[in-house]
Amino acid sequence: MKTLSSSYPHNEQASVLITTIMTMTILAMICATSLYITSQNITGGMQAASWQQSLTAAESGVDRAIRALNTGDWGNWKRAGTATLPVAEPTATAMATASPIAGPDSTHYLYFPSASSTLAAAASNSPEGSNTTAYWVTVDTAGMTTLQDPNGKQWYRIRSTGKAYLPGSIRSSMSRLDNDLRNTIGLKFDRKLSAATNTLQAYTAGQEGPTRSIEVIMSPIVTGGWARPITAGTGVQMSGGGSVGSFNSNNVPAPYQWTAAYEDHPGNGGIAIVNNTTNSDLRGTSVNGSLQYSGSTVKNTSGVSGTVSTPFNGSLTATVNPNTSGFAATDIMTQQYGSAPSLTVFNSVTPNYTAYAGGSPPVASITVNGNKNNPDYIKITGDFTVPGGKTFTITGAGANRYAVIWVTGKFTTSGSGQVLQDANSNITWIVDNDITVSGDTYNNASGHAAAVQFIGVGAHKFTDSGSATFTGTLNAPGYDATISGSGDFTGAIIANTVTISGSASVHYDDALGVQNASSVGNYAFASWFEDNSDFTRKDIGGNKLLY
Amino acid sequence: MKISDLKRDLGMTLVEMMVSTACGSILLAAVVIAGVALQRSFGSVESYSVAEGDQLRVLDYIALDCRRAVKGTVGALTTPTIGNGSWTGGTWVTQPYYRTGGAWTVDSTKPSTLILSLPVYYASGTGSIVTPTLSSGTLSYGSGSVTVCYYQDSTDSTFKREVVLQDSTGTVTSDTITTIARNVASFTVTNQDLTSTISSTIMFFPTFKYTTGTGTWRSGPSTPADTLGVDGDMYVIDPTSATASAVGNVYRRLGGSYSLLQNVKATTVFCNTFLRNASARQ
Repeated sequence: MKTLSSSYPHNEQASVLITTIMTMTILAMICATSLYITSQNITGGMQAASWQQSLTAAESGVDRAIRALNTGDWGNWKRAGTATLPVAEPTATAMATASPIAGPDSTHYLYFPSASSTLAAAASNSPEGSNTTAYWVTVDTAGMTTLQDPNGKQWYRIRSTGKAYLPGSIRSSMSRLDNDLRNTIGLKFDRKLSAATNTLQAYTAGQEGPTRSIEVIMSPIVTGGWARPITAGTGVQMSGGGSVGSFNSNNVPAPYQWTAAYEDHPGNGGIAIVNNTTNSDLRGTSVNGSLQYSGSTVKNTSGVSGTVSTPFNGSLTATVNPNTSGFAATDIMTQQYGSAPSLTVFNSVTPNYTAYAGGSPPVASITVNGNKNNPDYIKITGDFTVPGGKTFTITGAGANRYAVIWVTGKFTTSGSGQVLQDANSNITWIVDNDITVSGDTYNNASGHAAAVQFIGVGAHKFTDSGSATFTGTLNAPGYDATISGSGDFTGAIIANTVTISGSASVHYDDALGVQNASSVGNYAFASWFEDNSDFTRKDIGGNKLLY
Repeated sequence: MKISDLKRDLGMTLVEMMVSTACGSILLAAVVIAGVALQRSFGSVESYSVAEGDQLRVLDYIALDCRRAVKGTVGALTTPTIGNGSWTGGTWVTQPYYRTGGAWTVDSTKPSTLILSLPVYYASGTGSIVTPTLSSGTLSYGSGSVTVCYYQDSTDSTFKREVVLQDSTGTVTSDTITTIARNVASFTVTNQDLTSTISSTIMFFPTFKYTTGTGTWRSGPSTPADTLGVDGDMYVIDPTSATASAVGNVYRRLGGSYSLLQNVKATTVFCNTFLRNASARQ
């Protein structure tokens, strides 16, 4: 054993200990710093993940509200006795729960509580991140009225707030940038409520975590009847010239034709496409109305003045020949006649209709004696043609006379040939093959589109060309319709595809009864916005957090 | 045992000294090497974590704004005003304008600038949410405009988000530029059709893999010319390259010439966001 010499200075003995302690301290600090940085990285990752989870929850809330609007099933919703939306989640117990609960209106909003939407992971799963998600939703009218909608239908506002609860101590990232993006509307504090009350309002214990809020405006998509100027099955092609708009022929002096002075502003010049499969392209054509569609994106819609929305869940009712039972059910017929006439007359063994063989034309003129509930019935077997130099005159025996003419072949007017229909007559043409007509060759003296209705049966072509305005309607969901030349089309079109070339315009006639003939098929997004603001706080640049 | 013997034993023989010095040196060297390795490893992990945070942030920002945009386009204005992003006049166009160093520059080969229009959702001054108004089927929020612009600033390899608020007269009431990521090698909007989605590609320099020291990270579509930069600079082939397999190739400049180090693929992120507002799909 060695004994330390008394000649060794004492401070040298202590220096070893001090050096060791200092070294260990430095190492401990490095270790602690490393762990702290690592911890912050983990916190940042968890914050980002939870932020995404809360978005998923918020979108689920929007989906629930859309389903309720589409089905009218407001089960599990609460009805508040006010139209003023709450800043924070309201108390559900104070609200009506009568079933079936009425939808939101100008003095009530509906509320779906988070207690009914909470999804919690089983404790046995021991989630490391968020263990619970929930959302609460409100639906109200936002002060919008049916008078503000072209079809007289109600629009709604949905606000959904999704939450992802974080267990344990709630920490946000050290990154100011991350917090500007993902800490808004609170991890620990209900920032919206804090802003409203000007004091920090903590979440209920156990419910802390990021929240995200979405506001969606839902527009009603009408179906049935002459709801809009153009309803296409698979696509619309436009030239960029002309326009699509609306007016009311009842408000226009004789001859009741559209002029720019009588154009609606804003208009009802809407376009709907059931399933765009033909690469529809509006090419910037001015559409004084809205566009609704399903399927592929419709291109070049910058000319649409109203709302562009999707999906369009409407469908086209197939047209059938008048000797089938389904014919009377077509709502277009109902619209013209008030109630659908019984057209089984065409099946009678002893015909009580007037029959002609096809011809050019089959007869030079007819006189219409029928009325709305008991129209004249005429069947033309074969093609109906009015060639150049010929005329086909339709004369009403008195005011408001009605006739249904069934052409089993093609309907063709050409050249200088003309169908001359007086102002007393209302004719429904049912055509089983191609239809070729124009404003030059079909003179609808009434000036009202409702007086001339073409119903196309099967899958054929409709062609309107020339330089004069054609006034009438087309209900041919299987047809490919083309409007060319400079002549406008006044009325409404239902076809499989609609192609408008040249400078032709389409003018929807409000007198077709848009508001009464249509119903809401579904609701579609008119606007989608996520509120990620925190006006009470400033971002890294010292600016208030808004967008 | 005698004390005098003990005193003699306090000394060390030369052999003992050499052995102990050698052992100590080895141990010290091992500790230093391990420490340096741990430091480098931690630095790389930290750099990776920071890069990943930047990538997530960029993706989340772009996705957030794309979802709520009512209009999206790529490019800038025909008459951009240089300085603080006050591009208030002119007509929207697609390429070739891009933004660098606070100025708009014409170069069709340069990265895209993604420009999104948002509804005026907040009231000026109070920040309260605006109630939408409906007029004959046309929905609108507040008056004026909100434009959000994303671009890579090639002068400092940062990725910026610019928010411009204009009132109903077109006057800029607010113009804020925030750097939301660093070390960005390239930014391209790959789908300029914008029919239903906005597809963006953002490539980051692989700083967690290679460090430049005092050098500079650079990027481009093809192998760098030796005249570019100085020794110590790094260079990566970005997604603008016509050769897909070359994207991610990392070069280092030493001795006056660039040499290929490795292909690093993990630094490119893709943002493919569906446009929720149908009006934005063109």
